[in-house]
Formats: sequence, C-alpha cells, structure tokens
Amino acid sequence: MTSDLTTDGGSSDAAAVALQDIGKSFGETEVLKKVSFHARKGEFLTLLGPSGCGKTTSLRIIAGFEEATSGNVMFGQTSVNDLPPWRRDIGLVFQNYALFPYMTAAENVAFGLKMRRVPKAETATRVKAALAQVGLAGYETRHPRHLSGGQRQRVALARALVIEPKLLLLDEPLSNLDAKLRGEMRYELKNLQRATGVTTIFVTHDQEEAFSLSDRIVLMRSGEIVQYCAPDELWSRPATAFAADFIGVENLIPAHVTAPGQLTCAGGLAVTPTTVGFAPGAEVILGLRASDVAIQPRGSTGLPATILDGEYRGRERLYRLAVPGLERPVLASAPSDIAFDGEVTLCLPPEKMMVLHDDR
Amino acid sequence: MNSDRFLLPAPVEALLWKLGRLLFHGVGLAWQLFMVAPLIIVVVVSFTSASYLMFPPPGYSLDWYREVLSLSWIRSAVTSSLIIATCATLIAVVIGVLASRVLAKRPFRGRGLVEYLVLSPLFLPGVVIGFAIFNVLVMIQVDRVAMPQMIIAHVMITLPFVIRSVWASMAGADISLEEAAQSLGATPAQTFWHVVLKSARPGILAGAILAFTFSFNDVTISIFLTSSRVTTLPVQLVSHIEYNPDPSPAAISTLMIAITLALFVFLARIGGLNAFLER
Repeated sequence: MTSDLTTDGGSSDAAAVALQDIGKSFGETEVLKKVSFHARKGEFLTLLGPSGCGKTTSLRIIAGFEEATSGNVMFGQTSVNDLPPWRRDIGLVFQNYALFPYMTAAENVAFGLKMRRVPKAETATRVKAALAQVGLAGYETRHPRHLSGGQRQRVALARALVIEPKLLLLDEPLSNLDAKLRGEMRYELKNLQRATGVTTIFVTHDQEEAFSLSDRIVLMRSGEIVQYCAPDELWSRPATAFAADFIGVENLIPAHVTAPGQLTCAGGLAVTPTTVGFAPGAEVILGLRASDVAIQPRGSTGLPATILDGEYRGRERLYRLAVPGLERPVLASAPSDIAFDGEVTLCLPPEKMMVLHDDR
Repeated sequence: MNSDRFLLPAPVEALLWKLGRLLFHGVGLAWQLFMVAPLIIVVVVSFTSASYLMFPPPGYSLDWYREVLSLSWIRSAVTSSLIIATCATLIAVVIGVLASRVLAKRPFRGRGLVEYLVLSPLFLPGVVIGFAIFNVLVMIQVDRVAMPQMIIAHVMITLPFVIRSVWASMAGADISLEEAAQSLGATPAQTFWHVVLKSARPGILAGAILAFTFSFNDVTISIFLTSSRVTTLPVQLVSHIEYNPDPSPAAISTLMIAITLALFVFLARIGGLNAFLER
C-alpha cells in the first residue's frame, strides 16, 4: 500500500471515484474479490445485489470505514487508501439516518460545517438553505424524535449535502420508509442529485430503485460483479441467469443447446431463439418475461397450454400455465379485463428469449 | 387448541387480580412505613426542644442544630467529606468514562477478566475492602492517613458504579452516529467529544450521582482510614451516636440528608434532568 498520496495514470480520466481491484477479507471470509468499478463526475451509480453481496462493504471502503485487503480507492487521480474518513470529504446517508438525537435539525446539519470551522454567519445561511432545499424550511429547531421517518431522511440528506462533498454515498436510505413515501423520496432524491450535480453512489437491494435512479448499475453477487451497465441494458440484456432472476425475469427454464441456434428445454420442448450465443452442447437457461409471453384463445398458432391458476394484480393478471414439453409451469401476464380459463394457446416470441449462462 | 388450557372461572380470576393489586399497594405501603417513616421521625426529632429522644417531640427548637454546629469537629468533617466525595467522583468519572469506552468498543482478549476486576468492589463487602486498603497502607508505612489516601480508596469503591452506568449507556449507543460524525469531518477526538460523550451523558450523570452519594455516605471503608487529621462526616456521626444519647445525631443526620438531596437537585438542574428525560 502506498504511504502517501500518489497519482495513478491508469484510471479512467473522467472518474470521480474508482475502485481498482479491491479485495476484502474478514478473517477467512472473502467478501470482495478483485472488484473494479468507477463513477464518473456527476454520475448516479448504484451498487445492486442481495444481502451479503459486498455492496455495503464496497461503500464502507469508499467512505474509509473499512480498509481494503488489496487494491486502490481513487478519488480522481489520487489514491485515498491512507486517508481517514474524516479527511475524505464525503457525504454519507445511513439506512437508519444516524441523526444526532440530542441536536436539533439545524444543529445536525451544521455539524459538518462546525467541524470545518466555517464562520457562524455563513453556517447559519448554508444550514437554512440546505434545509430549504430538502423542503424542511421551518423545521430548524425540531429534534429528530419529533420528525417523521421521511423528514429524518431529508435532514440526513441536508446534513450530507451541506458540506458540498466530492461524493455522496447512500446506504439503503429508502428501505426504512413505507412504500408510498419511498416512491416520493426516490423522486426527490433524483431531483436533488440532478440539481446539485454531486457524484453519487447508492447501495440498494431493490431493483426498482436501481432502475429508476441510476445512470449505471453495478450488479453484485458474493463479492463479484455480475453486470456493470446502464439500467436499460440490464433490463433488456441481463448477463446471466442470476442477473435475470434478480431483476425479476419470471420464466427461467433450464435448456440445452442442441444445434446452432436451436434449444431443447427440460421436458423436451424445442425452441429457436433469435440470438443464442452458445455453441451446441452448452447447458443454458432460457429466460422470458411473463409480460413477453402472449396468451391467446385456443385455436391460434402457438403452443397449446392449460391455465393452472391466475393471480389478480390490478391492471394485469399473472397466470401459471402448464405447457406440454416443459417440466415447470410458465408464467404469463395479460390485461386483467379479459379473464382466461382452461385451454389456451401460448406464443413464446423468439426475439424476446434470453439465452443465459447458468450461474445460479 | 383451547382444550388443554386450564382456565380459571372468571370470578376467581377477578378475585386474584384484586388480590394482586392489594399486594402491590401493600408492598408500597410497607416500603413507605419502613423506609420513609424512620427518616421523617429523625428529621422531626432533630427539631426537638427536649434534651432526650422522644417522638413526637414535646416542643420545637433549633437548639440541637446550634449544639451540632458548635461541635469542634463538625466543620472539618463536613469539609473533608465534601472534598473527598467531590474529588473521588471527578476522578472516578474520568477513569470510568475512559474504561467504559474501551470496554464498550470491540471485544478484546481478557475482557471478561477486566470486567470482573473492575466490578469486583460491587460484590465484595465494604468492610473487607476497607480492611484490605488499611493493611496495604500499614504495610507501606503510611501511619497517618491523609486526604489523598482516602480519595484513592473512594475512587476504588465508586469506580464500579460509574463504569456500570456509563458502560451500559455506551454499549447501547449507535455506532453509526460515530461514523456519521467522522464522515462529516470529525476527527476521532472530536467524535469522542461531540458524539460519544454526549450520547453517554445520562449514564455519566447517573454514575456520578451514585458515586458521590456512595462516597459521601460511606462508613465501612472510611472508618479504617480516618485519622486525627482527616475524618468524614458519617464516620464521626457513628462515633458521636455511640457516646451521645441526646438528639444531636438526629440533627447531623438531617444535615446529611439535606446535603445529599441538595446535591442531587443541583446536578439534576445543570442538565441532568433534561438528559434523563430526553432518552
């Protein structure tokens, strides 16, 4: 490890923050295995993955609370490996907000400025502006216990942003809010990030949050990066069966590549996806969204299928169908105004089929 | 299902409930009778005009306070007791806060042993500790025991109270508060001052009150360490009671109660009460 700040020409030049081959072990357990990613200046980057995937550890390494076992954390062209948290100039929002309970909202927001010895008058103006920015003007003298969950969240955001950090780190900040509030805060968070232009790294296990907020997503699993791309690419082209499963692709059918461009599913059904990308002999997973499977009345062209049950989901209904030649039922969704029952025809569009490496 | 559950008939259950409440009030009443009543009697008797102990007093006067205040030892005993208790409490709080910080932080090897050693004065009889300290002082040939020895002994016996209560409040503290402070630019020293100490304030205050009252009222340990030069109020009170069958001990006792209460009210006023209520 370098003993002082060093420059490194190897990192991408627009990167505000970059992790280079970061490894982290707690005793025998390897929680990060040579992870590399970077956030460009002003970018909203999301670390997405199930619990234990290493996303929070990555965030804590960036914040400086954990020391990486190997690799470099770069802020711009500078390695911050040896920089303690209090000198990293980051804004951090915790899952539980971590507001100082014995301080008012304004005192909480002022804390970072006080540590930086900002003059009192300037502190007062900046605190006021920061609270106003998160829609909490007039709440200056409230203590955290007299604020709602959403309001605490805003104070935490104001406290992190008022110091004008180089980097904003968010550790599952929305997961303690109820569903309706979560939606609103998501919207406000995005607006705030756009308005301030602060480079942001966001940790979540919620794929919906990741899709709606991020410029790019780092999908992680067991200390490794599974996919690192823009949200629309993750949505339309998940890299592996795990990625597809995690972002909610409902049908994941084990299959075997029998000939170029030709798959046989477990159960015997043969399909010909538009793109296969695997040589004959490969064991793969065929992924297909329920919304891409079309249900038609019996008699149309397609596969004969029998409806097992249907679940009402408001605008649509999610059906489970038995298909001859497939071991497990296929999930398909259709608008809820037409109710299907009994014998139907299924259309599995080849262009929507995802042929995936089985890494589950 | 309900079949295997034994249910009392409703009237019996109601009766038991009533009995339970009766018992609760009974215990409360008994506590008042045995704990508070004697104290009230002592306070009342201290204002008697008679020269013997009698309740209720035949008349009221401040004679015994005048008598007590004219005792040759009373001023020096009150002063030394206050000095000893104050110094011992301050030292115990400083050591106790630092020790609690170490204990409440990550576990380390031998923590159990440290914990046991630190808290041992809580479960050892005070007489034993007093006797032990006395022996050590004799061994190192400090024949005339002075104030510093007394203070050291009192730090020893009050430290567990401080550590117990500060440790408890530090162990329950949210570690993310410290991390939040550091992310906002606070150095470890600033974090300790602005976050760790602030969060532990109720525990520190409670520990300090316990330590002070224990030190101020202690007899068992101090009795071994008093000398002609340094003595404490409770120790003097005990020997005074032995030789004076008049109401003057009641006046001294009332003074002690007053000093302890005044201190508690004072500490509660300077922010302690708020800290207690805010938690």
